This record gives sequence, C-alpha cells and structure tokens, in this order.
Amino acid sequence: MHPSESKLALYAGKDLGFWERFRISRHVYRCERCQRHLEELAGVREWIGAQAEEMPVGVNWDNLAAEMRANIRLGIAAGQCVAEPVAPKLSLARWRTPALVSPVLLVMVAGWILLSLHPPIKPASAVYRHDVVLQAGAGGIGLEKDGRGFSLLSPQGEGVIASVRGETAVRSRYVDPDTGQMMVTHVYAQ
Amino acid sequence: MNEAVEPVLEDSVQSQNRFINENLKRVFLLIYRMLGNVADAQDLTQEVFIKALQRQDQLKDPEKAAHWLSRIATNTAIDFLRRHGRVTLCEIEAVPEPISTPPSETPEQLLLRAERQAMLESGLQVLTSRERAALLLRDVEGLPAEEVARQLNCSKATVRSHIANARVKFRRYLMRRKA
Repeated sequence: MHPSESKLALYAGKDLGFWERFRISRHVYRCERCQRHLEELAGVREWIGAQAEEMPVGVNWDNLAAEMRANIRLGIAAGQCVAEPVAPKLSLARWRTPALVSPVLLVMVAGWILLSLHPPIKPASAVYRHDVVLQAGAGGIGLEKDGRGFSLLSPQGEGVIASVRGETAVRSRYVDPDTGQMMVTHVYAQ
Repeated sequence: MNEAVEPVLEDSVQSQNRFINENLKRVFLLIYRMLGNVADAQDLTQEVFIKALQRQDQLKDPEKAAHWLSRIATNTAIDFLRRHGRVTLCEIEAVPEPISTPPSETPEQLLLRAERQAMLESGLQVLTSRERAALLLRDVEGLPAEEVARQLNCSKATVRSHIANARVKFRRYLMRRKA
C-alpha cells in the first residue's frame, strides 16, 4: 500500500519521525510511482526556494532598501522622543521576605495591644438575666424582678414615645413643652 | 537562510545599522511572499525592524536574533492578513517610485523572471496564510519544524499538517500549470 500524499510530502522535507521515515524509505525503494512523486516534491521545494530568494520583478532593491532604512531610523528616533522614562526596576526577590513577614507581625502586635487594652468580654449569657422584666407603658418605663421593681414615670401629656431596644433595654423619649428640651431615658437589664 | 546576526543588538547606531543591513532583504522577501504586495511588505518590514529595535532588551539569546526577527515578521504579517483578509496583489505598473525595473536584465530575462514570479505568487495564493507561513519558514528560511511551531504559536503536529498541505497543494498547482 502506498503512503499518503501528505506523508510523502513530509518525507520529502525530512519532517517525519524515525520509524515512519524508515517505513516509507523501504516502500519508496521498490515503488517507482512513489519515487516519481518524491522527485516531483523535491523539485517543487527546490523551485520554491530558488524563486523565493529572487526580488519581485519591477522592484529596484537598492532604492527600496535605502528608503526603508531611512524610515526605520526615523521611526526609532520618533519612538525615542515619545518614550516615557523607564523607572528603575525593584528587585522582587530582595523585598519578598519583608513583604510576607511584615503583615503577619503587624497583625500579631495589633492583637496583643487590643487584648491588653480590653480584657476579654464575658459571654452574654453570663450577664443577661432572664428573670428580669422590662416594662414600657403609657405611664413610663420600668423594671421588675421577683415581684419588686421600679418605674420611671413620664410626665402627663402627649408626645411620650416608649420603645424597646432588643431584649435588654427600654427607652422613653419626650419633649418638654415649656423648655423645649428633649428628655431621653434608658433602662437596661443586666 | 542568512547567518545569525552578530551578537547583541547594542544600543548604538552602528550596530543597529548592521543588524538592519544583514536582515532587511530576508525579512522583506519573507513578508512579501506572505502578502504578495510590495507596498504592504515595505510598510510591514519597516514596522518589524522598528518593533525589534525598540524591544531589543527582550532578546535573551543574541545568537537567535535572526529567528527572533523572523518570528516578529511572521506574526506581524499574519496579523496584517487577519485584519485585511485575503492577499491583494498589487499591479506592478501602479507601484510608485522607488520601485522600478533594474537595468541589468535583458527583456527576455525579465519576462522569464516575471513569469516565474507570477507562478510563485499565484501558487502561494492557493494556500491559507498559516500554510504559506509554515511553507516559507520551513522550505525557504530553512527553520526546523519545532522552530516553525514556536513562531506560529502552535503544536508541532499542526505545523507538520500545514507543511504537508502546503507542499501537496503547491505540487498540484505546478502540475496543473505545466499541463
């Protein structure tokens, strides 16, 4: 069986691997048709190589080359005029270790300072007392525990706003009509 | 293929001129064979040398300057073909000065050369731009297939396929012409 045209084309330019080359060589040795095909391919390669080296008809190379050389020099000079000054390159290897270590150190120092300034906060369950009842009503705001408690009475009149803030605080707010001052009262359960 | 250029493109006018002189014709012909148009080949050749000399610090191995330049030329020409579609041949009569007939040839020699050149250009037109580039780099520039693959940014298997297709197509084209 004859090798494919593509294989012969690659064989002609010595572009095949060792075994394929060996196999095709053995075939070509005893196949006149493939020998002719290979000779044609070799002739084509030689012809292309020879023609490609020649200057196109009508081209005066000396003049063309002189013009291109002048344009290249002009282009390079123009490029140098508009080129930005190159900043000196920093050596990354030199800065790699400090760049990696310094953020870690910074975090450790900041953590140590914060811990020394603010001791750890006890968990909320330790301070939150479920048996304390906060109350807010028309009369005022207050706190009751085991049947005892107190109330901060709001002045009679309108404009008193009582609000609950989460589960641990109540707040009342009103504006004194005589003085115009705002009174805000908070009661926290702890 | 021309010999590799003298080591390192030193940043001096003299070494730049030497680099240009040693490679100008080769690069122009490579681009011209890919485009089939003198005026475009002239523009791109200039562009290639300006790019190369402005980026000479990227060249790590000075002995590979010629390959490096071929790679810039091939990529520039392929980019151009991608932007502008297929090759358009330029009528020689329409080409402005300084492109004119050299006086050293007889009319008969000139006619024969013109015929051969027309055959080559028409044959190259049959190929795709990648097949053309692969054929020129392998069979005209004489680069090994591995280097052609590097220059065209594709695998060696793909390059071998381009080279094989190009040789087969060109052979068929020449056989048809001769018939």
